[in-house]
Amino acid sequence: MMKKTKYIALALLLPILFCSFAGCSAIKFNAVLYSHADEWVDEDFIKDNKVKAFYLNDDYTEGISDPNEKYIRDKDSPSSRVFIINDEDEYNRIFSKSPINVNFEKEMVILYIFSDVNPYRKYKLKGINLEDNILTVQTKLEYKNINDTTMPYPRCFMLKMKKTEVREVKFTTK
Amino acid sequence: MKKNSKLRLICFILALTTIFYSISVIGSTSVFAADVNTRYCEDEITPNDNLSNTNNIESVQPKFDNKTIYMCKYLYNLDDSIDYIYTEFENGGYVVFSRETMEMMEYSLNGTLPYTNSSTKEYYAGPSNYLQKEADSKFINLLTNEQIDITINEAIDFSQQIRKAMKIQSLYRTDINFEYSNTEDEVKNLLHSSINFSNSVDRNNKPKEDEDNLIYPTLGMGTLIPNYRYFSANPTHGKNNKGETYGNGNSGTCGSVAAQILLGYNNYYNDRRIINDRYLNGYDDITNTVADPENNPNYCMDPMLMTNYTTGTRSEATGINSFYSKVITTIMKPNTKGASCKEVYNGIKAILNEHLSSNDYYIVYQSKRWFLSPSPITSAPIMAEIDAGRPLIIGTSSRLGSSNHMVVGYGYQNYTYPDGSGTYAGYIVHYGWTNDNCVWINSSWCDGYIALKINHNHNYNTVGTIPGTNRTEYKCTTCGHRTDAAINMLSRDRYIEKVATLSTGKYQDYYLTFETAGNKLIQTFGANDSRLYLYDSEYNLLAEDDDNGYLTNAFLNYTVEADTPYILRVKFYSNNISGKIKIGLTPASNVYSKYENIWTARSTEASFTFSSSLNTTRVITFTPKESGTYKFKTCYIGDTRIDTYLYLVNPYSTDACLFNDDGAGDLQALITTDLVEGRTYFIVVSTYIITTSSGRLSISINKTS
Repeated sequence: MMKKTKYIALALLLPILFCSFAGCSAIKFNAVLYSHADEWVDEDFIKDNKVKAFYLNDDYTEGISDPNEKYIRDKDSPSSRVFIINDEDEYNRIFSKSPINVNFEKEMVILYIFSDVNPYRKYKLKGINLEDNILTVQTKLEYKNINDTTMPYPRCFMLKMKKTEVREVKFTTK
Repeated sequence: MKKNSKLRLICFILALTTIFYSISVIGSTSVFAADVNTRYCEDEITPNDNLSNTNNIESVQPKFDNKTIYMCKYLYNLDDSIDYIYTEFENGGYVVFSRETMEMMEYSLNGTLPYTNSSTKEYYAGPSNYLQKEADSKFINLLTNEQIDITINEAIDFSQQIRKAMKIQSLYRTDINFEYSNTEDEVKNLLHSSINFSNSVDRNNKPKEDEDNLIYPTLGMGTLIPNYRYFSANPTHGKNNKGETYGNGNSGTCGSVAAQILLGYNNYYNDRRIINDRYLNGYDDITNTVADPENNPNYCMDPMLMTNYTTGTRSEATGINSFYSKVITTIMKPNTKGASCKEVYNGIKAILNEHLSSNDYYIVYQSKRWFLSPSPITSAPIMAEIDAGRPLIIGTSSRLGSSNHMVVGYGYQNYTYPDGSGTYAGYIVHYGWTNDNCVWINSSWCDGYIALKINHNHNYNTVGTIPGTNRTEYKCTTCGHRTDAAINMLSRDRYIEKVATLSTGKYQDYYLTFETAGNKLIQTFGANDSRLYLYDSEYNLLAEDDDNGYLTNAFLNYTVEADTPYILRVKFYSNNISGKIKIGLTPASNVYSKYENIWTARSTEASFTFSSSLNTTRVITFTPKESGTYKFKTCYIGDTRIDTYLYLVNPYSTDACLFNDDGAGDLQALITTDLVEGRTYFIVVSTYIITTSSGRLSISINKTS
């Protein structure tokens, strides 16, 4: 009976292990994605590098200005921006509030600013590939059984990874 | 717990985990994207589902064993009943089924029929009769390009005969009361369990939504609800910005924004009891009055004024008089983010129940959101709502290529992506963002909807002339709805005229009620080609006409029910004409199919004698042989004096008709006027009080100069 139970447990464990390894092998370069990095990025940097999103109107005064003008939509900026950061000074300048330590001798950071409508969901890193020095990063949006979008706002991903020669980065969401 | 039991429990938990994980990681469930290249026989079963006609299945199975279905779509009978399914196979071959009996109407192992792979409604009237509707009562044969005129009555007769021959009991409508299921699986099941659907069109490669570059469609190539201009006015509504909170500490309020807009629409058009004045624009919180009436739909001078304020509702982030805040706090728990389809549905119900009874509305929702296998919602019920003139909330999903959003749909049309991605069916929506009130979304991104129907029928009273105009305001005595486009024909009304002023391409709808049931003659007058359509309150077409009136005017008779709302639509035949059309309504005692069939005389003098009956008028036409001045005089026959009334209409003009009561003395009517030779004038004669008086009357016509 004991032996039988052991075999059953083993038979059940093996697929789980297989699945786990299958998942792990998709994330190369020791990459880690922080999908709410907008909280860490310097506000002026975000203002200086706008994307197609709604931004708080600097001239808005509560109680005086038209409430419809509290947020203004930027339609002229690009949909997204990518920054490849390879040194600590630049990292500290951009990520003025980041708690993440980066060893720039072995690691690098990629900042992806884009227009997002899902502030209350995380993005997970699903895969990362490098071909011809073009890095493709696949993410997946967290599932929830509700509708919770907002109007577009600027969101930041911070991707910390092994130092690699990269000339271009593309982010996709599944 | 004993050791063995503990181990069994662990194994059980591990087993469950493995199964769960395997399905989500290893197994791949089919994700169908309902784009234009795939399925169009959307989920639909009837309450009397008897689709499994085994005789037909057995005869079909061997024929299509090796076939892969390329597409299937519904085909309509001539009366717009969805009676058939068209299935086309890859590499040729097709079959047309009767939906109810699954009887094969026709098939081929090689060819295809000329139906389009789109959401356009297409019709089937038997082999070789593959039709598309070009305009009301005008079909085009897709095979021969021949134009066919079929009146609505002919269409109904034909369709009923076919269904009778096939022993189909029910009339199928695209009604939200029907249940829906996956019709691809249904067809697959009925043909053969091993039959496959095409993989040649990659269902997962449909374009994803780009929120940075929303699609702003060119309207006119699809279907919009009649009151789509409400959304063009972009009614005031709440904001939904990240970093802000609304209501009671809430954010991610897209569902509440959609609910606010949908309730605002229904309050504006269907029942003004839904939203109290304090939640509408123009209300002053200090004085508790409508201090700015021109921003309030219930108080503005012109009831038809449509600004974003008069159409919208108060949208402050918080506050006891903010309708937006009220909607949020009704739908969402405090300090929460986002809402499900069901929560929005429950919230709308709760707000409606504050002022209405459950009989005053009907609301339904459907959601196909399931984390293992996201699936687009069928388009049939959404299109049905729009066809019935009702906007609805539509949910979209990031797992289907969009975002997790809720919008308000008010139209549907196809869209061709300029990058060659193809043509897809989709909806016209108010997106809920600032100024994004006309956006196209792909139907395959949508996973749910909430449909609302308000059952209230307006009961209009005349208020008076709208200042500065020659229009009249009418107001519903029950809910306070205001309009200038109501025709409430009372029992005592002998003849009513209305003049519609139309811009190019536009039509005018009138909300029509009759105090007395019976035949009503409705026609247009004027110099231009015009059309009339009579609908029930859900925009089901009851009657229509083009050229049976005077020259190219419209002319129809319809037997109406008392106190039942109808919608009368008038428009020019051509979309390039603007101007006026006059409508005349009278409870004519005789039913004529055409203006030229009306009892008439062509001369310089004439006399008509007839018996009038209660609640009706007598219509006559007269064509003067010479231009000149003519006298029209009524008279009663017999000893008992009968008070009479007379109308004379110039059919070529939209000016007001001539009318008279006692001009001839002795309670008889007299009209003297110049007439044009050859023009057939329209005359309405009756007793003065048609509800209580009848008798033998006459009218004499004489040329005086």
